[in-house]
Amino acid sequence: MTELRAKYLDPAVLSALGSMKVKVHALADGIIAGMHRSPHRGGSVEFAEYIEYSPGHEIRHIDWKVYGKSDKYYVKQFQDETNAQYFFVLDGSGSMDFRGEDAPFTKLDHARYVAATLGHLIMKQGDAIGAIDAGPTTPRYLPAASKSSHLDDFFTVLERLNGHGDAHLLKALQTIAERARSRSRIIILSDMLDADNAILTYLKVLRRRRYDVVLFHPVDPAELSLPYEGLTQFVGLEGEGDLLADPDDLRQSYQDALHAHFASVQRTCEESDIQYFRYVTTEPIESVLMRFLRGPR
Amino acid sequence: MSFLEPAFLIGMLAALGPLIVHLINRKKAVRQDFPALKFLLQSNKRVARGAKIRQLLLLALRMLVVGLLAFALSKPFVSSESGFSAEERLPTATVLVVDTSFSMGNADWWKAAMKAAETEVDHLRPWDEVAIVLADEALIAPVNRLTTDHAKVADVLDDLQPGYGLSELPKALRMAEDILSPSLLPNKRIVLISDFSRGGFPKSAAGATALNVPVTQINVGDETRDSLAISNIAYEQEGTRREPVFRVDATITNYGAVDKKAVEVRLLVDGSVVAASKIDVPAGKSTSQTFRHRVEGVQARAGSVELVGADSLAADDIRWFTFKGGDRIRALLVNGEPSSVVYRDELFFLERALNPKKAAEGVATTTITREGLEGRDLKEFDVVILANVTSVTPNAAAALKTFVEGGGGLLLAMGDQVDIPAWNTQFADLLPKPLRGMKQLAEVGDPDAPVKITRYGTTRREHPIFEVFEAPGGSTLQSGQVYSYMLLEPSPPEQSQTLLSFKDSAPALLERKVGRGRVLLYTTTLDIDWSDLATRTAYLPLVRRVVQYLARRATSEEDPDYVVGKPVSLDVEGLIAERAIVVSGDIRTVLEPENGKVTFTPSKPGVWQVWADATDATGTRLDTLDFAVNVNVAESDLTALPVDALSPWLGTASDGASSAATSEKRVNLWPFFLFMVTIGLLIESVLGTRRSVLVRLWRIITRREVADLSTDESNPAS
Repeated sequence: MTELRAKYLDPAVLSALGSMKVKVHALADGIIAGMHRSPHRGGSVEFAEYIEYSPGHEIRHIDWKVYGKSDKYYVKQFQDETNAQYFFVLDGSGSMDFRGEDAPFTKLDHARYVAATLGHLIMKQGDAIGAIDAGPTTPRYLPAASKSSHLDDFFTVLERLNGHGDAHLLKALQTIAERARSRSRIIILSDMLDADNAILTYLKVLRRRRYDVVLFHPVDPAELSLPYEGLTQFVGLEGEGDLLADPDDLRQSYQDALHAHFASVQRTCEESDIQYFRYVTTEPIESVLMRFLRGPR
Repeated sequence: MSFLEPAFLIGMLAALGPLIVHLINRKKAVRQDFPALKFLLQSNKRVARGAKIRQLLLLALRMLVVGLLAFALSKPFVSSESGFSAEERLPTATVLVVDTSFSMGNADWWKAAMKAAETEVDHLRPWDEVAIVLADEALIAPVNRLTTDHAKVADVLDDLQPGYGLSELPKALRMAEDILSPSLLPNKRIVLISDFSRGGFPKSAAGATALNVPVTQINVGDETRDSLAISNIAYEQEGTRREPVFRVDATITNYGAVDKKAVEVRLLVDGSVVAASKIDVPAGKSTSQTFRHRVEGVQARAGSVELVGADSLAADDIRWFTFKGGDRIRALLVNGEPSSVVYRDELFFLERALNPKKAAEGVATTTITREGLEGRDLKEFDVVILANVTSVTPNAAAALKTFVEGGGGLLLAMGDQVDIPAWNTQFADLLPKPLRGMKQLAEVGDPDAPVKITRYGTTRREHPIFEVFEAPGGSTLQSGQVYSYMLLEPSPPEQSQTLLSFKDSAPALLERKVGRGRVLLYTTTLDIDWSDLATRTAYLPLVRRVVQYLARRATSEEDPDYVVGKPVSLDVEGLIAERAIVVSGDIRTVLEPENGKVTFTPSKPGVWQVWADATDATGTRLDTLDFAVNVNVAESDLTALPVDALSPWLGTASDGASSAATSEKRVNLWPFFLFMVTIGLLIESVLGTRRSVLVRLWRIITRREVADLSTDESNPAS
């Protein structure tokens, strides 16, 4: 297990990130005390509101100064703090296992490093992480936990992402929705090439169910520029077949279509208040994470 | 179609090369895994058809280019009559010789000539040189040096117009050859554009030398070769000097081969039609038409005779002339018996009869003695009267003869001083009849005189002198008594005619025409020595009508025949102060006199007026110097020249040129195919260039940034 930690956790990246915390976008609904605001009133020192005393309230919480002024019993309520659950939805499909000439990693590897570093940070601040592999037909699910050994399980899941076959992102998202508790944070790492209307619609559903959704969208530079020349036999990575064509003939039309698709994904995210990070795989991992950790502008 | 290098046709098999390469390339396509194949497939559906067509087009184009290249290398050509021979492809120096004689104005010939000339200029290559020579009498070369400035030559052609002169084809060709001689270009040629009419062309080829330059002849003359021209005009004042009637004889010549019927001929004076007639002119013949016109006043007139709608060549359908009405008669009276007793003077009665009041409007008389006759310029006078003159010197007699032959009038009156032998000798060519001797019927004062004398008898009534005596009261002529008269020797009847006789049938007044002038012999005296007519009322009208009849008449005989393009010399000695101005229509030329003469070359036909110093009120109109200029009708003969008429001048170079022109010429096709190969390669390089390169180039040109899809500015998280 130490090897996996050494593989996925780059000290340089961790050093660059320093003591940055991963914070949930909305309220968290945890089971133990943590750093995230809970929708419940609790025992923290942060004042929340007054409520009128009723039997059952602790006497010690009566604010006697208010009683002195209004001759009524009011009880002080304080903000409760809890821990958060993070679920990583990992796209291990064949399309993720692609690396162009200019990229240092495949999209999958890049996603692995991002997820591993992020998981490490989350675990470090005491929150729970879980994961689901959206690659195979039956998603492999890792329940959320916050114990320190759970990070190794998480790394094992990352390691087992094989980068073959079709993506079953919708299935993975449905599984998460069934199993994760409300207000959990769902971090999706996918190239979204298979993101059809059903998936985009389901992203909205997740948001309505009060899940805090973040989408990391790795893109290889070669996907953008289609840099190939001459007659080329294009072979699909998810069994779509092949295509013999001159890239010059297709480039403009392809780029238009790709751009339209990315715009559609981004628009969906914006409409549903989903954090959306599209990045090329030549961008350093710490740079991608830094953008995420600094939060929305 | 033929080929110079047919072996290269095998190279057309190379056209299969691109097809083979295409097929090999398909098999050697690079395999590339790609994640977003879904989008490539979507795009391929949209662009596959266009891309496939482009690929096929490119393939076909490459095959075509290779095939065409092999085809062009085999140097195909065809034989044609309209191509260029190898020699003609070389740089050429051309001189356009354009006939600008007035016959080119016939029908549409000039338009055809200009079209032919412009076509020649259009066909010149940029490196060809050209010059222009005009083939008329003036022999002007508006572009006298070979030039490659074809636009300038075209401008010169635009401004050209047919002139009024004769054609001068041989001289113009020689001039063209001289212009060509300094040219270093390998080809030289002359293009002769003419109507090739007989008019103006040399009658014989004597002295012709052959040109060393080929001549291409372009004949713009068609079948419209009918030509009527007014070839001559003669006018003469009719009757006596007082009569203002002019007779105008116009000669119309038909140079064509078709008889012309009812051709309208008009006489115009000062621009107004004063008479018109219709005449028939047989082919190849001349017909004369006579007009009579009464002129009022003495000022000079501009006259013309014109044919209306006779043919399509207008320049020779009008002919101009000038004429002047009669003015004061100048008479030189030679007194043979002067006397200090006034009434005994020989001319006492005559002078008073001719100019009774010595007024300005009467006959201007100048009286001299016979000694003064010699050395006198008789051109100043219209009439010379010898009254009882003994004899004259031989020189004076010769001068008188010349005077009469030139149109002057001479009245010879008898008297007792006349030396009959001398007269018969000196005036043998002038006397109507030789003198024999005086016959005295009675002496003055003789009591029997009434029965001895004779009287004036019959007259030639129709003669202008005696017209007036036919009027009532005109019979007083017969009342005159004649005491003596001169007897005459017989002479040939055609030499003279008797106008007036005495009652005894002896001639009293005889007329003889000498040259253009007239001589009247009065066989008795002009005073009262031999006859008392001078004291009768008939004397005054008789002598005045005699003088008017004898006076020099206005005639075209001495009018110079000026033609366009030939110099006109005018004697202006004493008439102008500084300069002479000749005016015709809107053309006005100022001339400086030299030795009392001005010389001027008219550029168009018409009547030219001459002014002294200025053409307004400060100048003087010299109407006696007005002159008419006409075209030379030698050019009017539009009969087509024989085909070989120019042969003596053309030489062997032209024979070669003409034979080359008719033989088949090689038209090379391979430059065209090579051009097509070039065009094909150009298209191929555009179609075959990768779009990515084109897009990059386009972006560099338009300085557009490459769109960055990796991040989106609208992405709030980026």
